[in-house]
Amino acid sequence: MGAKPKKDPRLVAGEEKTYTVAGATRFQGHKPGETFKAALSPAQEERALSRGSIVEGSKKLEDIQTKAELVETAKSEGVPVPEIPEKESKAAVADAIRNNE
Amino acid sequence: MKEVLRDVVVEVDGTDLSDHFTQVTVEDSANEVDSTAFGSVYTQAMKGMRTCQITGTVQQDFAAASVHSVLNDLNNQDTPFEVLVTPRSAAVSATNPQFRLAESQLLGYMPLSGGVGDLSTTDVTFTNAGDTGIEVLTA
Repeated sequence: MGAKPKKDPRLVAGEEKTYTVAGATRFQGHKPGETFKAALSPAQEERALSRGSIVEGSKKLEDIQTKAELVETAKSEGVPVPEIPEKESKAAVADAIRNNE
Repeated sequence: MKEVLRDVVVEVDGTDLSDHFTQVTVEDSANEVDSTAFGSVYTQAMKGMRTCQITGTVQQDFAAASVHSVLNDLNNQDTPFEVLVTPRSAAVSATNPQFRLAESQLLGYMPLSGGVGDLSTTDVTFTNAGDTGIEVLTA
């Protein structure tokens, strides 16, 4: 008969912020590299930032991920990755992937 | 229309792990409480406390922000998190309802289990930590 328990404040949505999906997996339906606005709860924001699923603000994927991660992300999104010589720069790898999208 | 599961979306704490899940079960049930009294011919039962959980089998992946990163993180902390399961990747609707366990918890996690030559998979159980249970969203 007691009052309904209050929702944990760490689960209540915070203020809306801009994030970029930084990992190789989609986050809340957004593709890697995509920028989105969301009001995440403080707990979820902290976890997602610390595991590298997202970063705050609007960023380019090649500014967040390593060369190997860019290739892995493209593969997980079904983008065919061309043969890229080892010595190529990260920007060149990002361009090659972008051209194949 | 009958449904063949090909395109189920499983989102754990915001991260879409669909392409690593191979099996998922959304479960909402109630305890059976015996209410049989003297004079009864048949046993009688009443619905007791409800319970709900989402279980599944997921292919292991140690890449950044992927399976291990997400599940290990959630297993090592105490704050409830959200798990969403949708039959198809299309927009959520009455014919593509989304099952939401808003306050779930992971009470255990096996990062590695299997024999030689096996694909590394792990079974996970997300139990209910809140008062809302599983919600069915249609929009």
